[in-house]
Order: sequence, then structure tokens, then C-alpha cells
Amino acid sequence: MKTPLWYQKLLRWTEGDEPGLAEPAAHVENPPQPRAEETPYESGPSLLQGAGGPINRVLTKVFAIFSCAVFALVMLATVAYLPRFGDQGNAPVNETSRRYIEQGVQEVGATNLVTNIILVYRGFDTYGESCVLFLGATAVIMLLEVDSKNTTRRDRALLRRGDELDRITRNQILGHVTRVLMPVILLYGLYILCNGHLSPGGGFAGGSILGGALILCENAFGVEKVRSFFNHHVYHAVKVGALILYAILICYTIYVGANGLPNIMPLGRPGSILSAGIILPINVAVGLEVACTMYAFYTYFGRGDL
Amino acid sequence: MIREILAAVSIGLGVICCVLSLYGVYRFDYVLTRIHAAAVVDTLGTLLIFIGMILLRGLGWASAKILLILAFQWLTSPVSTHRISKVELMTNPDYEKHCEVREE
Repeated sequence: MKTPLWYQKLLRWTEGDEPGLAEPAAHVENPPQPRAEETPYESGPSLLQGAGGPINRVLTKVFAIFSCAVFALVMLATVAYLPRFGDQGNAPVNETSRRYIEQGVQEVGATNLVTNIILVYRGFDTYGESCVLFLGATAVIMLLEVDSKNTTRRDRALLRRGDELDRITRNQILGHVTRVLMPVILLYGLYILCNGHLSPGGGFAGGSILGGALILCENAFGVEKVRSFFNHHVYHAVKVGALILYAILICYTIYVGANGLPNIMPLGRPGSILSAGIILPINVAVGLEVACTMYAFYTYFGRGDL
Repeated sequence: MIREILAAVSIGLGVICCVLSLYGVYRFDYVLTRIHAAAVVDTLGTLLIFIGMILLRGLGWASAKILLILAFQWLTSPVSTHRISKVELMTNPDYEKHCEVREE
């Protein structure tokens, strides 16, 4: 039931109690409660200091040095097996890249060769990256979610007070400018997202623009506005749905490619927006994933809730 | 010829603005004064440099895109400056020590 240290620091800072400042800010309604001066985390001895007596301490140090040495040796041995610089069999000059360049557009259909490679030829790898995003957001939610079980009532009241303060002091300038700019930003994000197979861009870039637009909306209009269309249900549905869509598409591609079956996804005419088979839906899935992850990181680090 | 000279003068002035703004950011020692210096590059610096680029390029789609970028910059940069200074005023009770405040 302890308050995190950073949060106490933030509270002290918002209440004008920072050591650099002379006196508390004038707009604090209730006087700051006397704070316990002990460190909020009962931080036990760290691993390197050792938990028990001196023998334990020496043993943990020996173990740490030993494991570091083993890892360093493994890495150095890997370096010894790297191909020599300028060798004929190296990756830049072997047949794989030649095939990507010569037949990528006919086989996959996207005029942007980079998208061909990262989303189809190496699509399994990019699927792993999407899973990393998913797991990162899940871990953040597990660690930082604020609910009645891990936070005291007083802290939750303080958080609500912060929201209230935010609502009172929200100013008109940011709202007006956001009202003008938000459609433009969203349109630009969608353009980058859906044009990933024709020009530089794609799911990751477009998704971060969309996530930034969500964050801007939260700043300008408040969290209630964002919650009205992006609550927990929508968040989980979009996030899991996008990942499952990506998984299905990449499984289909691998299955078809490995068995030499004909690809039923229409490749279309290279250069038009509805072309390149699975790349457009994969880009959209990745973009939704990235946008959800960015917004979740922002809100969970700030408020502990979506 | 005259167009190139005008463009060069404009871009040069823009670069001077950027350099002065950078100098100001390191020269001043308080948030509000530093942000005043830093906002120069976002408005005047980009304006002069973009005018120079438009003069070099002539009117066309590229110039229209440059004007769009300029509009975006001019909309977003003052707002962010305003928000940062507002946060400073809200959280720092003795900002008057650092800079003179004139009551209207």
C-alpha cells in the first residue's frame, strides 16, 4: 500500500514544495499533510550487495562476475564466426537480395521494396516486433494500473484532484488549435498508414502519428472526451484484433508460400493504392497496434488508467 | 539573378535568426526567457528560410507544400510555447524574481 517514490516527488513538486522554491504555491486548497520522511519502498539489499552474511555476499559477486564473463565469451565467439568483410558469399551480394530487387514487385506487388521485405519476405520477424509492442503495453498495464487493490484511497483522491485541476485550468487556445489541426493530423497519419506499400511510411510511422493525435486530443479536450470513444473495451478489442489479424495473414502467407499453393490475395496493379495483397491490411493492423501502444504508455505512466 | 540574391539574403537572415536563438537558449538562465529565445527559430527563422526556398524554387506544388508546413509550424509552435510557459507560471510561485512582470 505504498505510494511510488516518483509520484510522491511529483506531488511535492505540484504543491510547490520543491527544495528550490521558497514557499508553497498559493492555489493549494488544503494544506499539505505531513509526509512520512521514510523512503516509500522498503528496498531490500540489492543482488550485488548480497542478502545474507559475508559469504553470501562474496558468492553473489563471484556469480555475477562469472555470468558476465560467460556472456562476454559467447558474444566474442559469435563475432569470430561473422563472415569476412567483402566476401562474395556475404548477405549484400548473395542471391536473396538480388531476388528481392528483381522479382519483389512481381511476387508481392508493392512498389516500395522495403515494405515488401519487412512485411512479407521477413513478415514473421515484424510479427515478432508487433508482439513485443503488445507485451510491452501489457506489462505497463500490469505494473502501473491504479485500482482499489494497490493504491490507497487518499492517493486515488489526489489523482482525481489532478484531473479536476487539469479540467479547471484547461485553456481555450490549445482547444481551438487542436480543433483545427486534428483532422489534418489524422488524415496525414492515415495517408502514411495506407500508403506504406507505395511510398516510405507504413504501419509503424503512421501508427505513431495516430497515437500522437490521440495524446494531443487527451491534452486538449481532457480524458473524458477520449474515453467517450476510446475506452478499455475499444482498446482491448482493437489491440487484440489487430494482432490476431496480423497473425492470420502471416500464417496464410507462410502456409501458401511453403506449400507452393497459388496466392488468392489479389496483387493488383503495382502502384495503385488497392494492390499488393496482404500488405495493406498488415499495415493497418500494425498501425492500430502502434497507436494503441503509444496512447496506453502515455496514459498509464501519467494517470495509471486508460 | 536578382531572385537568387534575394533568396540568399532571406536564407542568410533565417540562419542568423537560428543562430541567435540558439545563443539565447544557452545565454539566458530562466525558463520564460529561454523559451522566448527558442520561439524565434520556430517562427521567424522558418519563415525567412521558407521564403528563400520559395524564391529559389518558384511558385508550384513544392512551394504550396512549403507554405503548408509553414502554416503547421506557425499554428503549433506558439501553442506549445504558451503551454510550457503556462505550466511554469502555475507551478513556480516566485517567477517574478526572474523576470519583471507588468500588471496591466
